[in-house]
Amino acid sequence: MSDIPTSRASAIGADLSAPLRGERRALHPDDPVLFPGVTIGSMTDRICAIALRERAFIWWWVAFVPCSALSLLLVISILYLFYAGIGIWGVDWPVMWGFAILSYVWWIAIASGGTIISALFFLVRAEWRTSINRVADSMMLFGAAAAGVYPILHLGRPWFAYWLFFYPNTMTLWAQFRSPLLWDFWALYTYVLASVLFWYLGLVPDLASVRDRATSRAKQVIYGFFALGFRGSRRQWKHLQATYAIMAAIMAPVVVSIHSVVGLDFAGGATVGWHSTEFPPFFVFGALLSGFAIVLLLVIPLRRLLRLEDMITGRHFDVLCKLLLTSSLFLAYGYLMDVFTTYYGGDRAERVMFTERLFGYYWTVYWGTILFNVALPQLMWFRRLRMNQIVVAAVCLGVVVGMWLERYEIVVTSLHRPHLPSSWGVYHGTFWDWSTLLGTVGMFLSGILLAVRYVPIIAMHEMRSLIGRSEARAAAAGRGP
Amino acid sequence: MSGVLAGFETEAALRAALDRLAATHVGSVETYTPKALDEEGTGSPLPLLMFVVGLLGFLGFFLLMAYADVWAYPLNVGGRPKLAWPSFVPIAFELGALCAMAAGFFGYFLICRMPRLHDPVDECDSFRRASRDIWFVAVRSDDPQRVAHAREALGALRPASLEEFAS
Repeated sequence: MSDIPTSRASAIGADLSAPLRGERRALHPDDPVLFPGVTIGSMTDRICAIALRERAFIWWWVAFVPCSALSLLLVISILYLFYAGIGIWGVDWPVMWGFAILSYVWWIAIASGGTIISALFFLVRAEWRTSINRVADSMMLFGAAAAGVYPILHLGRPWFAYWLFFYPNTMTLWAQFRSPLLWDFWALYTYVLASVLFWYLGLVPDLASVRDRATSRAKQVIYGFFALGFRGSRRQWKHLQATYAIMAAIMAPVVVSIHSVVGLDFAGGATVGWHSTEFPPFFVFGALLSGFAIVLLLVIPLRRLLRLEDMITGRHFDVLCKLLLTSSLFLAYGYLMDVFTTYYGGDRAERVMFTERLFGYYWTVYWGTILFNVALPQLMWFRRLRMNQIVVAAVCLGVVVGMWLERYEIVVTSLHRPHLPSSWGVYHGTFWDWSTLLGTVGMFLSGILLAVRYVPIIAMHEMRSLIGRSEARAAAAGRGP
Repeated sequence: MSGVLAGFETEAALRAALDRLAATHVGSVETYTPKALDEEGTGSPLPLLMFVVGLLGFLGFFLLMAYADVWAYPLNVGGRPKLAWPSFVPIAFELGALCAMAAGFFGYFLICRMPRLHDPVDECDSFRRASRDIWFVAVRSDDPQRVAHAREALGALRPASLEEFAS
């Protein structure tokens, strides 16, 4: 029998003041998902040490201060909106849907992309998903929160938001359940709540790990409270695995449904440019593309700054960039069919609007979309460029902008050329439109940064299974002929 | 009631200890491990619960919408039937999925009797490594003889740590 550890520090198993860091590594497409040498103990210590740091990294403050300032701008914009009404926005006849709707759709796509990585690729047992799962999940959570801000603001009379709920009332009125706009309300709030539950359940075992590594009383209490007494007993693991798997199996169709319903918001209207059966899958393709882009944009700096190079490897970049390219091709098909159905179909108003979209007042928006969402991602065909983090970051940033432009194109250019030429007009966002958009960006990034600071940013319990499998494979290879 | 907690360096060593304990018929045996011992998580009633609650949620909200649109507040939209059931499917699906998620989430904590912020086993210093890299087994019993017996059996397996706790 070996010694029983007596001091707390030795019981924890690691010296947290000197966190173990992975070595710097360049990207290579043939990298394994996980470099050998990462053990369940060292991995747990490194990830916990990030969450338990006494002081935040300097770069963290450099990023967090402007982001929280932007979040404050969001609060100010919302308060002023509630005071003055939606007249402070650029929306007016004929463009009655503006930044609120297009930014909402943009955020939902970003959130959905996170869910696709964390839920869909969980179901297909993709090993590369393990180390970026928490980043994708956090992106889902804060993306859904940023999207969730908009529908209430867009109502115009936000104090009547409760009319959307099911409830018996003295007016004997019920909501119009046949409207896609109401479907969208329920899809969004289901998605927001379900993503919180999914995120938290996957986090509980990791919070327990942080609780057990914490050395200060306050952190032990706080992490202990949120870990809810998870100790890794057989019962806790067994039910956790079963529940988490079924939750992932529910989240996957929910995420496809929400973005399809968002597409139906448009397709359900007899508006020029919207009335198309293509919209629901087309919107889901957009969600895929923006999801992969944002995950890459988050992973590139985090991998380097937190020294996770042995857990987030060239293999991850290779897979994510290939998926980015694939979803870009899906989207290109959508754009192509949009042109084809318009010019093959005989509707004059559709053709007038589309020609205007291609060459009219908003031509930069359309061609910007094509450039950023279709042309630039073609660089990902090249292996060398997939491993170049600057090129990948530039392409992803382009996609993020391109996806926003795509929504601008769908919402604004369709509305600015309605059937009746006497109603034609143009639209621009006002200061308050832009401040709300930037504010939600700040809120999203602040949320991600807080998650990076206080939450284990890699799903440790899933990594332990992956490490176990890798070690078993290495042992089998070592013994082999 | 008291107990003994033994930690092992590897999963294989823990499994060997479990086999030994099963042969010696000591008190109740519980494992605490850094990752799941049973990789596939079979035998949980929660998936069935989620399915049933999800289905009930789907049907419940579907019927609620049918009631609202057919009886409580019929509204003629372009001459379409009052029971326009396909248009009730999206909301019923979403809320059914939400019911299933909530059933899984809250059902999990109920079935595991969580939150349980303190457990006597937490008093063992070595226990903190259960969430890192040591594979623990705890034996609890009212009979001090049995605990001593379990301690002896576990000690023979050369565990990384061996501690007693009072519960």
